[in-house]
Amino acid sequence: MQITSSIFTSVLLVLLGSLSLNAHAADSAIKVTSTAQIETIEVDKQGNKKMKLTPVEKAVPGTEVIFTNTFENTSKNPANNIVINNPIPRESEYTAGSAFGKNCEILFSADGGNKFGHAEELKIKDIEGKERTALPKEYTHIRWTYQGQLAPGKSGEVGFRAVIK
Amino acid sequence: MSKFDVKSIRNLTNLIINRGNIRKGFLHGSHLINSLSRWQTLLGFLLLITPQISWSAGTPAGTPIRNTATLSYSLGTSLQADIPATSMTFLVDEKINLTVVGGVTTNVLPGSFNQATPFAVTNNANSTLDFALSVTEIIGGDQFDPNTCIAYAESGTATGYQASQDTATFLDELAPDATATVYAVCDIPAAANFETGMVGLTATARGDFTGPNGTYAATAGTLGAVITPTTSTDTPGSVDIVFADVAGSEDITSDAKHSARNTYLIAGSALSLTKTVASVLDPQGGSILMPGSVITYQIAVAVTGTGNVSSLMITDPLPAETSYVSNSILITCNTGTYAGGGACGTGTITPQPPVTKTDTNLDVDFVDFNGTTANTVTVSLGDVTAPADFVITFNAAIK
Repeated sequence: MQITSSIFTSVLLVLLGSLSLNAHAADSAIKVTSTAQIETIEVDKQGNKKMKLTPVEKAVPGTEVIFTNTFENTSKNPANNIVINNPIPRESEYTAGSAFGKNCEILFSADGGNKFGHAEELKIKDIEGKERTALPKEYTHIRWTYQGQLAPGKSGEVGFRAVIK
Repeated sequence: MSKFDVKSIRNLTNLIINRGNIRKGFLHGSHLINSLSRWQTLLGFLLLITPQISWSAGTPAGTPIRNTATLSYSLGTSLQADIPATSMTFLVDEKINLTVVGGVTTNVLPGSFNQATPFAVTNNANSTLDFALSVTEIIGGDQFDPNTCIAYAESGTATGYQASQDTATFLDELAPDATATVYAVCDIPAAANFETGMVGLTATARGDFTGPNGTYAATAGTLGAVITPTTSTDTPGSVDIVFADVAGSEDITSDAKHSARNTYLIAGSALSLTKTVASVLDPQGGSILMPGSVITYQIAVAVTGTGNVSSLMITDPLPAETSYVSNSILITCNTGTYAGGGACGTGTITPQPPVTKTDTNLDVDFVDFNGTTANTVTVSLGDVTAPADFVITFNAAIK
Protein backbone atom coordinates (compact mmCIF):
# COMPACT_ATOMS: atom_id res chain seq x y z
CA MET A 1 0.00 0.00 0.00
CA GLN A 2 1.27 3.35 -0.98
CA ILE A 3 0.22 6.25 1.23
CA THR A 4 1.10 9.53 -0.34
CA SER A 5 1.08 12.46 1.97
CA SER A 6 -0.26 15.69 0.65
CA ILE A 7 0.09 17.61 3.89
CA PHE A 8 2.54 20.04 2.35
CA THR A 9 0.24 21.03 -0.49
CA SER A 10 -2.74 21.44 1.79
CA VAL A 11 -0.90 23.60 4.31
CA LEU A 12 0.27 25.82 1.50
CA LEU A 13 -3.28 26.25 0.25
CA VAL A 14 -4.52 27.08 3.71
CA LEU A 15 -1.89 29.77 4.11
CA LEU A 16 -2.50 31.31 0.71
CA GLY A 17 -6.23 31.35 1.21
CA SER A 18 -6.01 32.89 4.63
CA LEU A 19 -3.65 35.64 3.62
CA SER A 20 -5.64 36.72 0.65
CA LEU A 21 -9.02 37.02 2.34
CA ASN A 22 -8.80 38.22 5.86
CA ALA A 23 -6.30 39.81 8.17
CA HIS A 24 -7.48 37.60 11.05
CA ALA A 25 -7.12 34.44 9.05
CA ALA A 26 -3.41 33.82 9.44
CA ASP A 27 -3.71 33.23 13.16
CA SER A 28 -7.28 31.88 13.21
CA ALA A 29 -7.25 28.91 10.85
CA ILE A 30 -9.18 25.77 11.51
CA LYS A 31 -7.10 22.65 11.08
CA VAL A 32 -8.90 19.99 9.02
CA THR A 33 -7.60 16.44 8.62
CA SER A 34 -9.17 13.62 6.70
CA THR A 35 -8.27 10.00 7.43
CA ALA A 36 -9.17 6.72 5.77
CA GLN A 37 -9.44 3.71 8.03
CA ILE A 38 -10.80 0.19 8.04
CA GLU A 39 -12.40 -1.66 10.88
CA THR A 40 -10.67 -4.82 12.02
CA ILE A 41 -11.70 -7.24 14.72
CA GLU A 42 -9.11 -7.83 17.41
CA VAL A 43 -9.40 -10.72 19.84
CA ASP A 44 -7.77 -10.18 23.24
CA LYS A 45 -6.31 -12.82 25.57
CA GLN A 46 -9.69 -13.42 27.17
CA GLY A 47 -11.17 -14.11 23.75
CA ASN A 48 -13.19 -10.91 23.70
CA LYS A 49 -13.68 -9.41 20.28
CA LYS A 50 -12.93 -5.74 19.94
CA MET A 51 -13.41 -3.51 16.92
CA LYS A 52 -10.30 -1.58 16.03
CA LEU A 53 -9.74 1.11 13.45
CA THR A 54 -6.54 0.91 11.46
CA PRO A 55 -5.28 2.98 8.53
CA VAL A 56 -6.24 1.54 5.15
CA GLU A 57 -3.82 -1.19 4.13
CA LYS A 58 -5.70 -3.70 2.02
CA ALA A 59 -8.10 -1.76 -0.10
CA VAL A 60 -9.37 -4.32 -2.53
CA PRO A 61 -12.75 -3.67 -4.17
CA GLY A 62 -15.46 -4.47 -1.66
CA THR A 63 -13.56 -3.08 1.30
CA GLU A 64 -15.53 -0.67 3.51
CA VAL A 65 -13.46 2.38 4.31
CA ILE A 66 -14.27 4.83 7.10
CA PHE A 67 -13.48 8.39 6.06
CA THR A 68 -13.21 10.76 9.01
CA ASN A 69 -12.75 14.54 8.89
CA THR A 70 -11.42 16.07 12.11
CA PHE A 71 -11.54 19.85 12.52
CA GLU A 72 -9.98 21.89 15.30
CA ASN A 73 -10.27 25.58 16.00
CA THR A 74 -6.64 26.60 16.45
CA SER A 75 -7.45 30.32 16.58
CA LYS A 76 -8.22 32.51 19.57
CA ASN A 77 -11.72 33.29 18.30
CA PRO A 78 -14.86 31.19 18.13
CA ALA A 79 -15.70 30.01 14.61
CA ASN A 80 -19.22 29.82 13.30
CA ASN A 81 -21.08 28.86 10.13
CA ILE A 82 -18.88 25.80 9.86
CA VAL A 83 -19.85 23.71 6.86
CA ILE A 84 -17.92 20.66 5.69
CA ASN A 85 -18.54 19.60 2.13
CA ASN A 86 -17.28 16.15 1.23
CA PRO A 87 -17.54 14.63 -2.26
CA ILE A 88 -17.75 10.87 -1.84
CA PRO A 89 -14.71 9.42 -3.64
CA ARG A 90 -15.87 8.34 -7.08
CA GLU A 91 -14.31 4.91 -6.66
CA SER A 92 -16.54 4.18 -3.67
CA GLU A 93 -20.22 3.86 -2.74
CA TYR A 94 -21.71 5.45 0.36
CA THR A 95 -22.92 2.97 3.01
CA ALA A 96 -26.54 3.73 3.95
CA GLY A 97 -26.94 5.40 7.35
CA SER A 98 -23.22 5.60 8.00
CA ALA A 99 -22.74 9.38 8.09
CA PHE A 100 -21.96 10.67 11.57
CA GLY A 101 -21.24 14.07 13.13
CA LYS A 102 -22.09 15.27 16.62
CA ASN A 103 -23.96 18.55 16.72
CA CYS A 104 -24.29 18.61 12.93
CA GLU A 105 -27.08 18.69 10.41
CA ILE A 106 -26.17 16.12 7.78
CA LEU A 107 -27.45 16.52 4.23
CA PHE A 108 -26.69 14.60 1.07
CA SER A 109 -26.54 15.28 -2.63
CA ALA A 110 -27.16 12.84 -5.45
CA ASP A 111 -26.51 15.26 -8.30
CA GLY A 112 -22.87 16.18 -7.96
CA GLY A 113 -23.33 18.71 -5.17
CA ASN A 114 -25.89 21.03 -6.77
CA LYS A 115 -28.81 20.22 -4.49
CA PHE A 116 -28.53 19.03 -0.90
CA GLY A 117 -31.31 17.47 1.12
CA HIS A 118 -32.39 14.72 3.46
CA ALA A 119 -32.41 11.18 2.11
CA GLU A 120 -36.08 11.18 1.05
CA GLU A 121 -35.73 14.51 -0.77
CA LEU A 122 -33.03 13.28 -3.12
CA LYS A 123 -34.42 12.40 -6.52
CA ILE A 124 -32.84 10.82 -9.53
CA LYS A 125 -34.26 10.56 -13.01
CA ASP A 126 -34.08 7.17 -14.67
CA ILE A 127 -33.50 6.58 -18.37
CA GLU A 128 -37.19 7.12 -19.15
CA GLY A 129 -37.23 10.47 -17.30
CA LYS A 130 -39.15 9.04 -14.36
CA GLU A 131 -38.18 10.48 -10.98
CA ARG A 132 -37.34 8.21 -8.09
CA THR A 133 -35.69 8.51 -4.69
CA ALA A 134 -31.92 8.20 -4.93
CA LEU A 135 -30.31 5.13 -3.41
CA PRO A 136 -27.64 5.74 -0.74
CA LYS A 137 -25.02 4.24 -3.04
CA GLU A 138 -25.89 6.93 -5.59
CA TYR A 139 -25.05 9.82 -3.25
CA THR A 140 -22.28 12.01 -4.57
CA HIS A 141 -21.72 14.44 -1.68
CA ILE A 142 -22.22 14.76 2.06
CA ARG A 143 -22.51 18.11 3.84
CA TRP A 144 -22.22 18.67 7.57
CA THR A 145 -23.46 21.98 9.00
CA TYR A 146 -22.09 22.45 12.48
CA GLN A 147 -24.72 23.82 14.85
CA GLY A 148 -23.50 26.81 16.81
CA GLN A 149 -19.99 28.00 17.44
CA LEU A 150 -16.77 26.07 17.74
CA ALA A 151 -14.89 27.58 20.64
CA PRO A 152 -11.12 28.15 20.45
CA GLY A 153 -9.19 24.93 21.10
CA LYS A 154 -12.27 22.78 20.56
CA SER A 155 -12.56 20.17 17.85
CA GLY A 156 -15.19 18.13 16.08
CA GLU A 157 -15.33 14.95 14.04
CA VAL A 158 -17.56 14.02 11.11
CA GLY A 159 -17.37 11.12 8.74
CA PHE A 160 -18.95 8.30 6.79
CA ARG A 161 -18.35 4.82 5.46
CA ALA A 162 -18.06 3.88 1.82
CA VAL A 163 -17.35 0.62 0.03
CA ILE A 164 -14.70 0.58 -2.68
CA LYS A 165 -16.29 -0.28 -6.00
CA MET B 1 3.89 -65.76 -42.61
CA SER B 2 3.80 -62.02 -42.55
CA LYS B 3 1.39 -61.99 -45.45
CA PHE B 4 -1.22 -63.49 -43.15
CA ASP B 5 -0.53 -61.27 -40.25
CA VAL B 6 -3.86 -60.58 -38.58
CA LYS B 7 -3.16 -56.90 -38.27
CA SER B 8 -2.50 -56.34 -41.95
CA ILE B 9 -5.58 -58.27 -42.94
CA ARG B 10 -7.75 -56.39 -40.47
CA ASN B 11 -6.80 -53.15 -42.11
CA LEU B 12 -8.48 -54.27 -45.30
CA THR B 13 -11.81 -54.72 -43.59
CA ASN B 14 -14.15 -51.94 -44.47
CA LEU B 15 -17.33 -50.64 -43.00
CA ILE B 16 -19.85 -48.82 -45.04
CA ILE B 17 -22.48 -46.76 -43.30
CA ASN B 18 -24.66 -44.36 -45.17
CA ARG B 19 -24.11 -41.57 -42.60
CA GLY B 20 -20.84 -39.74 -42.19
CA ASN B 21 -17.46 -40.46 -43.60
CA ILE B 22 -16.68 -43.53 -41.59
CA ARG B 23 -14.73 -45.98 -43.60
CA LYS B 24 -12.15 -47.91 -41.80
CA GLY B 25 -11.33 -49.85 -38.66
CA PHE B 26 -12.18 -48.31 -35.27
CA LEU B 27 -14.39 -45.37 -35.70
CA HIS B 28 -14.30 -41.75 -34.79
CA GLY B 29 -17.64 -41.75 -33.09
CA SER B 30 -18.15 -38.00 -33.08
CA HIS B 31 -19.77 -38.26 -36.49
CA LEU B 32 -22.65 -40.08 -34.93
CA ILE B 33 -23.56 -37.65 -32.16
CA ASN B 34 -26.89 -36.33 -33.17
CA SER B 35 -27.38 -32.61 -33.52
CA LEU B 36 -29.95 -32.51 -30.73
CA SER B 37 -27.43 -33.52 -28.11
CA ARG B 38 -25.10 -30.75 -29.24
CA TRP B 39 -27.80 -28.15 -28.83
CA GLN B 40 -28.67 -29.53 -25.42
CA THR B 41 -25.08 -29.15 -24.36
CA LEU B 42 -24.88 -25.60 -25.66
CA LEU B 43 -28.18 -24.61 -24.07
CA GLY B 44 -27.21 -25.98 -20.66
CA PHE B 45 -23.97 -24.05 -20.89
CA LEU B 46 -25.67 -20.75 -21.65
CA LEU B 47 -28.16 -21.13 -18.82
CA LEU B 48 -25.33 -21.74 -16.39
CA ILE B 49 -23.27 -18.70 -17.23
CA THR B 50 -26.09 -16.16 -17.44
CA PRO B 51 -26.28 -15.36 -13.68
CA GLN B 52 -22.58 -14.50 -13.65
CA ILE B 53 -22.85 -11.54 -16.01
CA SER B 54 -23.85 -9.03 -13.34
CA TRP B 55 -20.69 -9.63 -11.31
CA SER B 56 -18.36 -6.72 -11.06
CA ALA B 57 -14.63 -6.98 -10.75
CA GLY B 58 -14.39 -3.48 -9.27
CA THR B 59 -12.14 -0.45 -9.41
CA PRO B 60 -8.98 -1.16 -11.42
CA ALA B 61 -5.94 -2.15 -9.39
CA GLY B 62 -3.55 0.73 -8.75
CA THR B 63 -6.25 3.44 -8.83
CA PRO B 64 -5.50 6.16 -6.24
CA ILE B 65 -8.33 7.05 -3.87
CA ARG B 66 -8.31 10.27 -1.88
CA ASN B 67 -11.00 11.91 0.22
CA THR B 68 -11.29 15.62 -0.55
CA ALA B 69 -13.35 17.34 2.16
CA THR B 70 -13.55 21.12 2.31
CA LEU B 71 -14.48 23.22 5.34
CA SER B 72 -15.96 26.70 5.17
CA TYR B 73 -16.49 28.93 8.20
CA SER B 74 -16.80 32.45 9.48
CA LEU B 75 -15.16 34.38 12.21
CA GLY B 76 -17.79 36.72 13.53
CA THR B 77 -19.65 37.78 10.42
CA SER B 78 -16.68 37.65 8.13
CA LEU B 79 -16.51 34.63 5.81
CA GLN B 80 -13.13 32.97 5.71
CA ALA B 81 -11.41 31.12 2.89
CA ASP B 82 -12.37 27.47 2.43
CA ILE B 83 -9.98 24.99 3.99
CA PRO B 84 -9.29 21.75 2.16
CA ALA B 85 -8.69 18.84 4.49
CA THR B 86 -5.24 17.39 4.81
CA SER B 87 -5.65 13.84 3.56
CA MET B 88 -3.85 10.77 2.44
CA THR B 89 -4.11 8.93 -0.84
CA PHE B 90 -4.27 5.17 -0.86
CA LEU B 91 -4.19 2.83 -3.82
CA VAL B 92 -6.69 0.17 -4.75
CA ASP B 93 -5.09 -3.22 -4.28
CA GLU B 94 -5.04 -5.92 -6.87
CA LYS B 95 -7.75 -8.45 -6.19
CA ILE B 96 -6.99 -11.72 -7.93
CA ASN B 97 -10.25 -13.55 -8.45
CA LEU B 98 -11.75 -15.79 -11.10
CA THR B 99 -14.64 -18.15 -11.64
CA VAL B 100 -14.75 -21.37 -13.63
CA VAL B 101 -18.25 -22.64 -14.34
CA GLY B 102 -18.83 -26.21 -15.44
CA GLY B 103 -21.70 -28.55 -14.68
CA VAL B 104 -22.20 -29.33 -18.35
CA THR B 105 -23.03 -32.87 -19.46
CA THR B 106 -21.66 -33.72 -22.88
CA ASN B 107 -22.90 -36.80 -24.69
CA VAL B 108 -20.14 -38.91 -26.21
CA LEU B 109 -19.57 -42.25 -27.83
CA PRO B 110 -17.38 -44.93 -26.30
CA GLY B 111 -13.95 -45.01 -27.88
CA SER B 112 -14.36 -41.61 -29.53
CA PHE B 113 -11.56 -39.07 -29.91
CA ASN B 114 -11.19 -35.32 -29.29
CA GLN B 115 -14.49 -34.80 -27.53
CA ALA B 116 -14.92 -31.19 -26.45
CA THR B 117 -16.86 -30.13 -23.36
CA PRO B 118 -17.26 -26.40 -22.63
CA PHE B 119 -16.43 -24.42 -19.49
CA ALA B 120 -16.81 -20.69 -18.81
CA VAL B 121 -13.90 -18.81 -17.25
CA THR B 122 -14.60 -15.30 -15.87
CA ASN B 123 -11.96 -12.80 -14.79
CA ASN B 124 -13.26 -11.36 -11.50
CA ALA B 125 -9.97 -9.55 -10.82
CA ASN B 126 -9.70 -5.78 -11.08
CA SER B 127 -7.05 -5.97 -13.79
CA THR B 128 -6.62 -7.63 -17.18
CA LEU B 129 -4.92 -11.00 -16.75
CA ASP B 130 -3.95 -14.18 -18.58
CA PHE B 131 -5.22 -17.54 -17.41
CA ALA B 132 -3.31 -20.82 -17.59
CA LEU B 133 -5.50 -23.87 -18.16
CA SER B 134 -5.16 -27.44 -16.98
CA VAL B 135 -7.40 -30.50 -17.12
CA THR B 136 -7.97 -33.13 -14.42
CA GLU B 137 -8.77 -36.55 -15.89
CA ILE B 138 -8.90 -38.81 -12.86
CA ILE B 139 -11.80 -37.94 -10.58
CA GLY B 140 -13.55 -40.30 -8.19
CA GLY B 141 -17.23 -41.10 -8.37
CA ASP B 142 -17.48 -41.84 -12.07
CA GLN B 143 -17.23 -44.96 -14.20
CA PHE B 144 -14.47 -44.05 -16.64
CA ASP B 145 -11.62 -41.59 -16.99
CA PRO B 146 -11.36 -39.49 -20.14
CA ASN B 147 -7.76 -39.39 -21.34
CA THR B 148 -5.19 -37.33 -23.29
CA CYS B 149 -7.16 -34.21 -22.37
CA ILE B 150 -6.01 -30.75 -23.44
CA ALA B 151 -7.75 -27.43 -22.72
CA TYR B 152 -8.27 -25.02 -25.61
CA ALA B 153 -9.64 -21.47 -25.62
CA GLU B 154 -12.51 -20.64 -27.95
CA SER B 155 -11.12 -18.36 -30.66
CA GLY B 156 -14.48 -16.76 -31.34
CA THR B 157 -14.28 -17.43 -35.08
CA ALA B 158 -16.99 -20.09 -35.08
CA THR B 159 -19.30 -21.27 -32.31
CA GLY B 160 -18.37 -24.58 -30.74
CA TYR B 161 -15.05 -26.37 -30.66
CA GLN B 162 -13.20 -26.26 -33.97
CA ALA B 163 -9.93 -28.19 -33.87
CA SER B 164 -8.48 -26.02 -36.63
CA GLN B 165 -9.36 -22.69 -34.98
CA ASP B 166 -9.42 -23.19 -31.23
CA THR B 167 -5.74 -23.90 -30.72
CA ALA B 168 -4.70 -21.52 -27.91
CA THR B 169 -3.89 -23.40 -24.71
CA PHE B 170 -4.26 -20.38 -22.39
CA LEU B 171 -6.56 -17.37 -22.11
CA ASP B 172 -4.74 -14.29 -23.32
CA GLU B 173 -5.59 -10.83 -21.95
CA LEU B 174 -8.99 -11.43 -20.39
CA ALA B 175 -10.44 -8.07 -19.25
CA PRO B 176 -12.07 -7.61 -15.84
CA ASP B 177 -15.60 -9.07 -15.83
CA ALA B 178 -15.02 -10.74 -19.21
CA THR B 179 -15.96 -14.39 -19.68
CA ALA B 180 -14.27 -16.78 -22.11
CA THR B 181 -15.22 -20.25 -23.26
CA VAL B 182 -12.66 -22.99 -22.71
CA TYR B 183 -13.00 -26.54 -23.95
CA ALA B 184 -11.58 -29.62 -22.33
CA VAL B 185 -10.89 -31.91 -25.31
CA CYS B 186 -10.50 -35.56 -24.34
CA ASP B 187 -10.46 -39.07 -25.75
CA ILE B 188 -13.16 -41.37 -24.40
CA PRO B 189 -12.28 -44.95 -23.48
CA ALA B 190 -14.51 -47.98 -24.05
CA ALA B 191 -17.47 -47.71 -21.72
CA ALA B 192 -21.04 -48.93 -21.41
CA ASN B 193 -24.10 -46.93 -22.18
CA PHE B 194 -25.06 -44.27 -19.61
CA GLU B 195 -21.71 -44.52 -17.84
CA THR B 196 -20.16 -41.19 -16.91
CA GLY B 197 -16.66 -39.81 -16.82
CA MET B 198 -15.91 -36.52 -15.10
CA VAL B 199 -13.34 -33.98 -16.26
CA GLY B 200 -12.12 -30.99 -14.26
CA LEU B 201 -10.85 -27.68 -15.63
CA THR B 202 -8.58 -25.46 -13.54
CA ALA B 203 -7.79 -21.89 -14.58
CA THR B 204 -4.89 -20.06 -12.91
CA ALA B 205 -4.53 -16.27 -13.03
CA ARG B 206 -1.20 -15.20 -14.55
CA GLY B 207 0.25 -11.79 -15.23
CA ASP B 208 3.30 -9.63 -15.75
CA PHE B 209 4.32 -6.86 -13.42
CA THR B 210 3.52 -4.13 -15.94
CA GLY B 211 0.29 -2.54 -14.62
CA PRO B 212 -0.18 0.95 -13.13
CA ASN B 213 1.45 1.61 -9.72
CA GLY B 214 2.99 -1.85 -9.54
CA THR B 215 0.12 -4.09 -10.51
CA TYR B 216 -0.04 -7.20 -12.63
CA ALA B 217 -1.26 -6.93 -16.19
CA ALA B 218 -1.30 -9.19 -19.20
CA THR B 219 1.07 -8.92 -22.15
CA ALA B 220 -0.54 -9.84 -25.45
CA GLY B 221 0.43 -13.10 -27.04
CA THR B 222 2.33 -14.66 -24.15
CA LEU B 223 1.19 -16.39 -20.99
CA GLY B 224 1.99 -14.18 -18.00
CA ALA B 225 4.20 -15.21 -15.09
CA VAL B 226 3.01 -16.81 -11.88
CA ILE B 227 1.38 -14.21 -9.62
CA THR B 228 2.63 -14.04 -6.04
CA PRO B 229 0.39 -12.67 -3.30
CA THR B 230 1.69 -10.02 -0.91
CA THR B 231 2.37 -11.78 2.36
CA SER B 232 3.35 -8.84 4.54
CA THR B 233 0.60 -6.60 5.94
CA ASP B 234 1.92 -3.51 4.20
CA THR B 235 4.19 -2.97 1.26
CA PRO B 236 5.10 0.69 1.03
CA GLY B 237 5.37 2.02 -2.49
CA SER B 238 3.41 -0.72 -4.19
CA VAL B 239 -0.02 -2.20 -4.48
CA ASP B 240 -0.80 -5.33 -2.49
CA ILE B 241 -1.69 -8.46 -4.41
CA VAL B 242 -4.60 -10.16 -2.64
CA PHE B 243 -5.93 -13.58 -3.66
CA ALA B 244 -9.71 -13.42 -3.27
CA ASP B 245 -10.76 -16.59 -5.10
CA VAL B 246 -12.88 -19.28 -3.51
CA ALA B 247 -12.18 -23.02 -3.58
CA GLY B 248 -13.22 -24.92 -6.70
CA SER B 249 -13.67 -28.62 -7.36
CA GLU B 250 -9.92 -29.15 -7.86
CA ASP B 251 -8.38 -26.25 -5.93
CA ILE B 252 -8.36 -24.49 -2.59
CA THR B 253 -9.36 -20.99 -1.55
CA SER B 254 -6.99 -18.03 -2.19
CA ASP B 255 -4.66 -19.78 -4.64
CA ALA B 256 -5.32 -17.65 -7.75
CA LYS B 257 -7.08 -20.69 -9.21
CA HIS B 258 -10.61 -21.84 -9.67
CA SER B 259 -11.99 -25.04 -11.11
CA ALA B 260 -15.15 -26.89 -12.01
CA ARG B 261 -16.19 -30.21 -13.48
CA ASN B 262 -18.09 -31.38 -16.52
CA THR B 263 -19.41 -34.85 -17.21
CA TYR B 264 -19.04 -37.00 -20.27
CA LEU B 265 -22.08 -39.25 -20.67
CA ILE B 266 -21.95 -42.30 -22.88
CA ALA B 267 -24.94 -41.84 -25.14
CA GLY B 268 -25.16 -42.63 -28.81
CA SER B 269 -23.95 -45.58 -30.78
CA ALA B 270 -20.47 -46.62 -31.81
CA LEU B 271 -19.24 -49.38 -34.00
CA SER B 272 -16.27 -51.57 -33.41
CA LEU B 273 -15.07 -54.54 -35.31
CA THR B 274 -12.31 -56.97 -34.54
CA LYS B 275 -10.99 -59.43 -37.03
CA THR B 276 -9.18 -62.46 -35.74
CA VAL B 277 -7.94 -65.78 -37.06
CA ALA B 278 -10.15 -68.23 -35.18
CA SER B 279 -8.35 -71.37 -36.33
CA VAL B 280 -5.96 -72.81 -38.90
CA LEU B 281 -6.28 -76.33 -40.24
CA ASP B 282 -3.38 -77.64 -42.31
CA PRO B 283 -3.64 -80.61 -44.74
CA GLN B 284 -2.07 -82.89 -42.13
CA GLY B 285 -4.72 -81.99 -39.54
CA GLY B 286 -2.39 -79.63 -37.63
CA SER B 287 -2.48 -75.85 -37.36
CA ILE B 288 0.54 -74.82 -39.42
CA LEU B 289 0.20 -72.00 -41.95
CA MET B 290 1.21 -73.58 -45.26
CA PRO B 291 -0.21 -73.95 -48.78
CA GLY B 292 -3.46 -75.85 -48.46
CA SER B 293 -4.10 -74.72 -44.88
CA VAL B 294 -7.63 -73.43 -44.27
CA ILE B 295 -7.89 -70.28 -42.17
CA THR B 296 -11.11 -69.52 -40.32
CA TYR B 297 -11.53 -65.75 -39.98
CA GLN B 298 -13.84 -64.21 -37.46
CA ILE B 299 -15.07 -60.62 -37.62
CA ALA B 300 -16.76 -59.61 -34.36
CA VAL B 301 -18.93 -56.51 -34.77
CA ALA B 302 -20.38 -54.55 -31.86
CA VAL B 303 -22.70 -51.56 -31.92
CA THR B 304 -22.44 -49.98 -28.46
CA GLY B 305 -24.12 -47.05 -26.74
CA THR B 306 -27.62 -45.99 -27.71
CA GLY B 307 -29.30 -45.07 -30.95
CA ASN B 308 -28.85 -46.84 -34.20
CA VAL B 309 -26.64 -47.10 -37.23
CA SER B 310 -28.34 -47.35 -40.57
CA SER B 311 -27.60 -49.44 -43.65
CA LEU B 312 -24.68 -51.16 -42.00
CA MET B 313 -22.61 -53.15 -44.46
CA ILE B 314 -19.37 -54.97 -43.77
CA THR B 315 -16.99 -55.86 -46.57
CA ASP B 316 -13.77 -57.83 -46.39
CA PRO B 317 -11.64 -58.29 -49.50
CA LEU B 318 -9.69 -61.50 -49.44
CA PRO B 319 -5.88 -61.36 -49.67
CA ALA B 320 -4.63 -62.42 -53.10
CA GLU B 321 -2.68 -65.29 -51.54
CA THR B 322 -5.86 -66.99 -50.35
CA SER B 323 -8.86 -68.50 -52.04
CA TYR B 324 -12.33 -68.38 -50.54
CA VAL B 325 -13.95 -71.66 -49.40
CA SER B 326 -17.36 -71.76 -51.05
CA ASN B 327 -20.46 -71.27 -48.93
CA SER B 328 -18.36 -70.94 -45.77
CA ILE B 329 -19.92 -67.71 -44.50
CA LEU B 330 -21.58 -68.14 -41.11
CA ILE B 331 -23.46 -65.39 -39.28
CA THR B 332 -23.93 -65.61 -35.53
CA CYS B 333 -26.42 -62.99 -34.37
CA ASN B 334 -26.04 -62.56 -30.60
CA THR B 335 -27.95 -59.44 -29.62
CA GLY B 336 -29.49 -56.35 -31.17
CA THR B 337 -32.60 -54.94 -32.73
CA TYR B 338 -32.69 -55.12 -36.52
CA ALA B 339 -35.04 -53.25 -38.80
CA GLY B 340 -34.96 -55.97 -41.42
CA GLY B 341 -33.30 -56.17 -44.82
CA GLY B 342 -30.18 -57.63 -43.24
CA ALA B 343 -28.42 -60.86 -42.39
CA CYS B 344 -29.76 -60.93 -38.81
CA GLY B 345 -33.38 -60.61 -39.88
CA THR B 346 -35.99 -58.44 -38.19
CA GLY B 347 -36.72 -57.59 -34.55
CA THR B 348 -34.95 -57.85 -31.23
CA ILE B 349 -32.98 -61.02 -31.02
CA THR B 350 -31.37 -63.09 -28.31
CA PRO B 351 -28.28 -65.22 -29.10
CA GLN B 352 -28.98 -67.44 -32.09
CA PRO B 353 -27.01 -70.39 -33.42
CA PRO B 354 -24.72 -69.70 -36.39
CA VAL B 355 -26.55 -69.63 -39.71
CA THR B 356 -24.78 -70.69 -42.88
CA LYS B 357 -25.24 -68.31 -45.77
CA THR B 358 -24.92 -68.85 -49.50
CA ASP B 359 -22.54 -66.96 -51.77
CA THR B 360 -25.07 -65.83 -54.36
CA ASN B 361 -25.19 -62.17 -55.13
CA LEU B 362 -28.29 -60.25 -53.98
CA ASP B 363 -29.56 -63.39 -52.41
CA VAL B 364 -32.31 -63.17 -49.83
CA ASP B 365 -29.82 -63.95 -47.06
CA PHE B 366 -28.08 -60.57 -47.60
CA VAL B 367 -24.64 -62.12 -47.84
CA ASP B 368 -22.48 -62.74 -50.86
CA PHE B 369 -18.98 -63.43 -51.99
CA ASN B 370 -17.57 -62.10 -55.27
CA GLY B 371 -21.02 -60.68 -56.04
CA THR B 372 -21.36 -57.09 -54.86
CA THR B 373 -17.59 -56.67 -55.02
CA ALA B 374 -15.06 -58.94 -56.66
CA ASN B 375 -13.22 -61.40 -54.38
CA THR B 376 -14.85 -59.79 -51.34
CA VAL B 377 -17.10 -61.01 -48.56
CA THR B 378 -20.08 -58.64 -48.25
CA VAL B 379 -22.52 -58.80 -45.35
CA SER B 380 -25.48 -56.41 -45.13
CA LEU B 381 -27.20 -55.83 -41.78
CA GLY B 382 -29.58 -52.98 -42.57
CA ASP B 383 -30.53 -50.62 -39.74
CA VAL B 384 -29.18 -51.79 -36.39
CA THR B 385 -30.18 -50.42 -32.96
CA ALA B 386 -27.59 -50.57 -30.18
CA PRO B 387 -26.61 -52.53 -28.25
CA ALA B 388 -25.98 -55.20 -30.85
CA ASP B 389 -23.27 -57.69 -31.58
CA PHE B 390 -22.80 -60.36 -34.16
CA VAL B 391 -19.97 -62.42 -35.60
CA ILE B 392 -19.13 -63.16 -39.23
CA THR B 393 -17.09 -66.27 -39.87
CA PHE B 394 -15.69 -67.53 -43.16
CA ASN B 395 -12.92 -69.76 -44.40
CA ALA B 396 -10.11 -69.16 -46.87
CA ALA B 397 -7.41 -71.55 -48.06
CA ILE B 398 -3.78 -70.56 -48.59
CA LYS B 399 -2.85 -70.90 -52.22
